[in-house]
Amino acid sequence: MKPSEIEIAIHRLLDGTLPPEAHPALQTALQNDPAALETYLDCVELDMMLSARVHSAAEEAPSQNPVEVTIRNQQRLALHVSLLAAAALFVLIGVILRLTSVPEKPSILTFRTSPDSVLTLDHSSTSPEVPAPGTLAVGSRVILQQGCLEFSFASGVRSIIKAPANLTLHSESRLHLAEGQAWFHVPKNAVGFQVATRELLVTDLGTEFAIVSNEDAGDEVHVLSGRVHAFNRNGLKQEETLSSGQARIADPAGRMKTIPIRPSGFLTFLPDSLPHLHWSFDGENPLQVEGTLPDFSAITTQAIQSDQRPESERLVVGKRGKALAFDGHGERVQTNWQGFEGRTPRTLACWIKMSPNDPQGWGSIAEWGVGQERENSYWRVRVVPREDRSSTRGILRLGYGMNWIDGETNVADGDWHHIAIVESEASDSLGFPLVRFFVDGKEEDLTYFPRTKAAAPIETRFGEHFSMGRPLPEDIGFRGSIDELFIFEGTLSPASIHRLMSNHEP
Amino acid sequence: MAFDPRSEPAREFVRLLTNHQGVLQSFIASMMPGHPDTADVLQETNLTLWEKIDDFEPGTNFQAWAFAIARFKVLDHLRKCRNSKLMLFSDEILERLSVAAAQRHPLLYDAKVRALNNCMTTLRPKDQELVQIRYHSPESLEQYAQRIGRPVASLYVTLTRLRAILRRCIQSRLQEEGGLA
Repeated sequence: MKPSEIEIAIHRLLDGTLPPEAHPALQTALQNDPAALETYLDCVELDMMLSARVHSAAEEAPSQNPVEVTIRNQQRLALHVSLLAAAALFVLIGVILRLTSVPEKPSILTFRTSPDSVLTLDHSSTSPEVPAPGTLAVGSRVILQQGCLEFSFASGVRSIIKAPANLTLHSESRLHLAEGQAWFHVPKNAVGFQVATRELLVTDLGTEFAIVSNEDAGDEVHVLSGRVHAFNRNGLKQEETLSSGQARIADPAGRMKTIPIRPSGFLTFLPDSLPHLHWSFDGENPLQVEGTLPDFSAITTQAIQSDQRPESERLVVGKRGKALAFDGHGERVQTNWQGFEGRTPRTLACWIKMSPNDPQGWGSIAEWGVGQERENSYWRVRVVPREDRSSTRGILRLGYGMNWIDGETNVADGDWHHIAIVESEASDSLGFPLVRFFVDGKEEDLTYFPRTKAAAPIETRFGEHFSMGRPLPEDIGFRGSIDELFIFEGTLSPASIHRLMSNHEP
Repeated sequence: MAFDPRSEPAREFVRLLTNHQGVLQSFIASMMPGHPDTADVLQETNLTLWEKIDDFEPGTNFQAWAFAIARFKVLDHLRKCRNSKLMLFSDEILERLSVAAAQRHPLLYDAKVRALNNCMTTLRPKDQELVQIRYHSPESLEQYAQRIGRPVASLYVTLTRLRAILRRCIQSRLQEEGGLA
């Protein structure tokens, strides 16, 4: 068989249209010809990719609750690994253990998630009940990797939990929060509701309160109204009744230490997007940040000018309303926000406009972290020149320090472009984070550097605060305009990026 | 093992399992071409991998281990449906497939997926529609052929041509990138 005949036969085999009499010839070719075997594997792979591609496109259509776990087999243990976006293997993993079929009982807790949330449900410790979708049973465990959850207990208790979180429902009136930030509102008829952490046991006395449970620091309780009883489970086992406006942190010795309350540090409603910050450059205070990330109101943003002209003169016509212009000679925007630490999943999205072939345009669009080149401790999005035969393109680059990732599309052509950089917490087998670039809503081909050896560990560290247009050490600034800059805690789906691009709102 | 999905070994295992889904599914499909149960066998394989998490030694070749389990699952599944009219390969070809597939790196699979996304946009809209019908639509290719008034055999010919174009496009884009290809 000729190579072209082999390829046709392979596709017919995969389509189920290869006549039985043609099968032996194909078998012989595959057995004797290594090239035919490679062609066969390529064709199968393409088949799988096409199938996954169209399926994932369909799955990415907006839905009311994007996080639902499919139970394929009610009779036995099931593990469901679903490729939400096959292109970059951003995955929703649902694990359901010990499933048996029994009649449903009224649920004691229902939950909803904000869009783009990712969670794992584990019902391995529940009684032999199958919690209905969107509900939990006693013993159910939830690991929230990104996004937010709203719990509504049958008793009327309501809670908003922000990722990363790890919690277990101990009873209809007790929740164990191993990790996470959670806000609770307890109505009068549910007084006595308890939240346990590794260090604290908090009993409600009719109130609104919040808990911070950290793996690396003491657990905190903040009383926003009413009263709670807080008990340190360690060492000295101090306990205290706290009133509205009081906050405590548990120390390892078992004491309760006073800390300032953070009234704006907790979400009290389920947001309609991932927690985020947004600089619109519009309105009376164009540099004011908005959003849903806790404590966003404490963030200050300062425009640093290269001359004495008023800040308002840097505002130009943007993609929506006004945009902020940067001259590439030191103008930047500096905030007091620390950024995201470690491998927190994140998405940066904004509109940019840059002139072609502008050597003063290759500075940072946004960045934060510790600017060491010998480790991967910062996060910097910029545009870099890519020389072609006859011209220079300006392509997107995500830099960490020692490693970086490049896109393909020219974004320095004098037009507005919508860019989105999406980084997952997960890594590929070489240690690179799973990253996706989108330019004008279209996913980019990416090139990883260096790609010939395993990546160095990538961990963003707190250092320089979040800034836009900050000049690089070589004194190269960003020359161009930025509009509608969002930064999300979590990975935005392609559908959400399209929505953001179209509506300028998440 | 005690189920603790937050533990580092479990998270690392999930990462490996996730990163290898593409190559694993392709490997399974290559051993049972045209078989409708590929997804079920993948599911069974994932489940077994998860159950055997304690057997996997971090740092060793996850792909080789996963492929060995997948191969067993495929053979077991094919034995159960011996009456199937689908055409199956000889043991010798299955062995050759296992060896060749094990050389395929999951990163390369990811790069191909990205390349395919771009290559698809180079197809004409009606060709994109044909691919969509073949791989996802509840409407069969036969029904589609009837609807648009074309012989179904000609659609299969077009599909074969389109897939050859896409395959070459992917190879060409990987070569342009260098490195991984």
